[in-house]
Amino acid sequence: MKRNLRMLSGAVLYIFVTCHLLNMAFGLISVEAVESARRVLTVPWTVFPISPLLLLSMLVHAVLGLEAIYRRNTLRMSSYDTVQLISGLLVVPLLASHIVGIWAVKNLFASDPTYHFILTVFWIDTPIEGLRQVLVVVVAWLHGSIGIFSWMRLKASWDRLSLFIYPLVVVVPVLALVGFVDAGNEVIADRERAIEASSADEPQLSEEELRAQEEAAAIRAEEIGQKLDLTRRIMWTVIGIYSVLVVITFVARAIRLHIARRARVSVRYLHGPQFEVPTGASMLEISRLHHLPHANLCRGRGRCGTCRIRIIEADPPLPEPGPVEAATLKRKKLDPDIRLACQVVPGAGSITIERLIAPDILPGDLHAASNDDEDEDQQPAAEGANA
Amino acid sequence: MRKPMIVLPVHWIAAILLIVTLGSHPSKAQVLPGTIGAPQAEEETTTPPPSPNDVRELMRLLSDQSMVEWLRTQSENPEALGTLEPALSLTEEFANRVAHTRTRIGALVVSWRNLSIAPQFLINAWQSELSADDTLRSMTYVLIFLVVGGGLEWLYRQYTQVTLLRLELRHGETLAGRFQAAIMRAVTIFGGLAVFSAGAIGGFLSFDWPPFIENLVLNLLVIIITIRSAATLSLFVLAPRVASLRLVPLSTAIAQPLHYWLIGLVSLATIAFAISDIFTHLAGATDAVGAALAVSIISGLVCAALLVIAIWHMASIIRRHTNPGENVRKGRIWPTYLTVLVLIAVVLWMLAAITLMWTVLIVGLVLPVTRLLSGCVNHLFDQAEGLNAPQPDEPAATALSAAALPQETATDLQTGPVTTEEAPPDADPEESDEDEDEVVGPLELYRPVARRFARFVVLIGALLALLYVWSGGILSLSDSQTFTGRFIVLLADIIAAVLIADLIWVWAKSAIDRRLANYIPPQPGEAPGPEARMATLLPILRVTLFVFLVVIVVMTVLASFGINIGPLLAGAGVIGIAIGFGAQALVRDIVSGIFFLIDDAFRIGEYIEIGELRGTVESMSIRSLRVRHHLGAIHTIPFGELKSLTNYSRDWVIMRLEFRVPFDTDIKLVKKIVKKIGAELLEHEGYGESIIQTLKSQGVRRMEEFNMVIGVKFMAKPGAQWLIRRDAYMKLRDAFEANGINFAQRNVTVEVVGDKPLGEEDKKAIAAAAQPAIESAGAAGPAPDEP
Repeated sequence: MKRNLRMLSGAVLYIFVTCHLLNMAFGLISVEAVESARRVLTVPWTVFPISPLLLLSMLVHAVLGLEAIYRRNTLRMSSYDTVQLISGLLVVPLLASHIVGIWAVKNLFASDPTYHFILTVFWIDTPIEGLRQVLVVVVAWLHGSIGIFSWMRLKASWDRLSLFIYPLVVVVPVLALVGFVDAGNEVIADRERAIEASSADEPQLSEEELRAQEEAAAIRAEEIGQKLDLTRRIMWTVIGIYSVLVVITFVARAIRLHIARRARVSVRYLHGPQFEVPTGASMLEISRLHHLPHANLCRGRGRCGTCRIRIIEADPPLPEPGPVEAATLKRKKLDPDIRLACQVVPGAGSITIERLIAPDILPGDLHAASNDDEDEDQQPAAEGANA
Repeated sequence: MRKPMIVLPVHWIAAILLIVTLGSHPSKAQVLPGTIGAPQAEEETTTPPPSPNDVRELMRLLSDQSMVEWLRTQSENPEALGTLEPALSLTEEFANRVAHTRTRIGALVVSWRNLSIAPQFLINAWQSELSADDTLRSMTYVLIFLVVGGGLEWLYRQYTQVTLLRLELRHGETLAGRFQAAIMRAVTIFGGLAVFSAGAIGGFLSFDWPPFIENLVLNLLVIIITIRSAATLSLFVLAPRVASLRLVPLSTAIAQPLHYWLIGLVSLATIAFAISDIFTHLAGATDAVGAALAVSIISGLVCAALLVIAIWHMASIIRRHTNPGENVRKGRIWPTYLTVLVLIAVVLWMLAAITLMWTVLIVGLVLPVTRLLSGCVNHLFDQAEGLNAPQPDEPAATALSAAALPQETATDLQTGPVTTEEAPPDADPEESDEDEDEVVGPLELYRPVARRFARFVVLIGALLALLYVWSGGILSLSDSQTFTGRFIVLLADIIAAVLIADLIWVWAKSAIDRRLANYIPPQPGEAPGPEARMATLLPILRVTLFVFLVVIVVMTVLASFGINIGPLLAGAGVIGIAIGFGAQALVRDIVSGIFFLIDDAFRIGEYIEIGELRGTVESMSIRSLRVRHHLGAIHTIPFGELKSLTNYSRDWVIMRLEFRVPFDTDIKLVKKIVKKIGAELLEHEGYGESIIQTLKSQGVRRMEEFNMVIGVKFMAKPGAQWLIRRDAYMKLRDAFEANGINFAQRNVTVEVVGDKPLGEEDKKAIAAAAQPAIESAGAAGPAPDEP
């Protein structure tokens, strides 16, 4: 349930980001093209039934993400997981200025945030914001793509699908960023032209007119300054709350692990080494901590069953499989002494296991070899290099 | 051959230069006073370009042979050359150098005094070029195009990572498999880098940019790509995660930190270099504050410090992982050496003595790099033969615990010798030579050659680098007419000749020695194999080759000294002919000896017959053959005397035996017995192997007066027949006796007419009468000579 909810909210966010990036890609044509594409690609997300849904997804996904961090047993993980975790943590602080800014333009300044205006802000007025936008695109896209991959690569059609999905995943942000650059260049050129034009008809005004203009400008500047201050406060509040939540998550996790890790377990691999490790980590995490190659296609989510191990001896006996593990074991019709390494958390004592699947298995092998699955799977894992 | 071909272009160049200098010199002389006072000289300062007619005229003149001759004589005139290359005397040069150093020290002092205001100066200079907004925008561009490149590379990896993973996990066992894996891996990982570079730089260049931003962003992208290239190269060579793919003899525990150090050092050096470059440009020529100098000195010092830290850190790791029990002081020699080297280089660099710095670096690095390379070669050979696969932890496997990045990456001092780590002192090439003789793989023969070749490449590379540093290129040097230039070229010639000869000699010697070592002289009584001939020829070949190489090298050296070796060769030819006439017989012996050996007429250990003489070939000299008779006498026969020769030790021999039995013997029984004995002989463990066709009966060969002659024969390998014959006789005799067959005995039956008993006298008379009959029949002499 929790897992599905996280996946669903993530998917909603991912689709939104894709639309938004595709919109930006029109910058390759012109700023006007971006603006007209906005009506189709971005505006629908701000209409009533969808916009609360988007907001809800955002909240749910953030909270569930923090919860997943709390549940994590080790922070030494595969590079994909590391990237996903860090990018997930970074999305909120990086994105806050963008969202709050747009909200402020709409509600405080009561104007329509057109792309021309936004691009001027990003490229000319505050280039640091532009840099931040690029970062947030990278970070959010990485996070989303990794999530989508971990979910989709277990599907039977992944082998065929991946041929199209891989290029798409690269093309969308690349086009968006390049469109961002191109539209930015256009905006900069516009601004230069405007400066030249304004400097040309500057001296027509009389002195009084000038003073009046300046006064008006000062009042407006003060007003704008106040609103900007408010915006900034809101932004920092959001970031602050989020940071506190993150810190609380990590502290809670540390406490949980400290309690869980007081005992030690001795792990022995058949045809392999033997370790003495603190309890609390799953077998897959233990393998990874010691640089032992261990097949895991879904990266420890209990879906693929490639991390399966044979329990040769366990003292004390392992607890019964949880619902996720039981479902996968049942689906794969595995023997009772076979368990999923990513779900097995050995208690204090000793355990002897055998890795059953070669660590270089591919998602394609998962479905292609389902007929002779059993023969192949029973081979002991290749004692590979310390990858 | 070579000389005239080079001389011609040299003179051409000299001639053209001469024309240019002669043409420009007067006009320059006029310009200088002209600019000061006389305005009418203005028109002369802008020398008009030559009209097409003039050019054509020049071409015509140059193609004229007589003109060329004149120019050649002119160019050989030492005074004319003096204008081309103003030679500085040694003291002048030294004085120059000192003055140069003094100005440099002055600049350093200025820069040190102004260190506090330098940052502000640089910031101002930067902002005058590029506003803060522009800087941020440039960063945005860099980030965007890195993402573009990175995205494309990621895509590339999605399609190749399976191949890579398979390569890492399941490497081939055979040499070809390993080689293929290495190539595939290199192509894959460098392909990723290429995709990244193409995406980042190509994407960036497809837009129009203001020039300064374009320069800046492009430089930043290039820096990042440089660092990534170095990292990829290091990944390929060190393979920090997968020991079996590693190209250098390091354990994982050493390779991993080394990899990270390499990346760190290269990144730092590249960035430092770029920064000091940018600021030198920013400060411009009027760097009164010395800020740019300060930046470059500081970045250089930081790099050097990190390099020293890296050296000591790696040394400690290596010490920990190779042999913990080893003498600590011994293990500190190399890091200390390298540290000193780095420090000297840094000091020289700070004093702007770049030539000297490179000299020190190159000379200092020759030894470690040579050791490193020979270790790598050993490792590659071990890997190719799959030797160290089963024992990865053996200390010998880490014979050389270091890896070097190619020196080309050292673009500046900051980069310097990027990695030069410690080689344990016990990696003595001579020592390992002895070990290797025990394990003989198919490639073992080429190992010393490869090692020598690696050393050769290093030395030649160092030599070329030195020449380049000293005089900006070997090409300009070979044109130089100064004494130093000539001397250096001469030295290079000699060293190259000696090194090449050494390479050939090592290869030939190791090849010959190995074949000789494999040769096992045949046991007495056994037929020698085809290797025997090699055992005869190879030592002769080795000596000949050695003499030949020495002569060639001496000739080359003499020739490069400028001594004309033509008369020497001619003289040698004349003397050769004279000696040839005088020593005709000797020559005939030698030549016919070579042909006998090529014909494979005999080999050492074979039993031969030459005319009256027989015996086993014991040794051969270049002139004669030494044959030992089986009774111990030694015959020495010059090859020239050999007309025909009989060899008893080739392929097979047939031995025929015969014995006499009475007429009433059962032939079938004899046949059966012989067959049985033949089978028995085949079973014999001593010589059973040597029998080609075992003993078989040929039936009655002939009838004699008193008995039948039964023939028996067998075919065996040469040398084994005597033993087989001995046993065959023995067994046959025993078997015949057991079966009641008696050998016929010579008896003379005297028929006495009459039936009265014979008296003693009569018996004597009869015996005397029968005596001639017995003696005439028993005339068979002693058996022919046999060993």
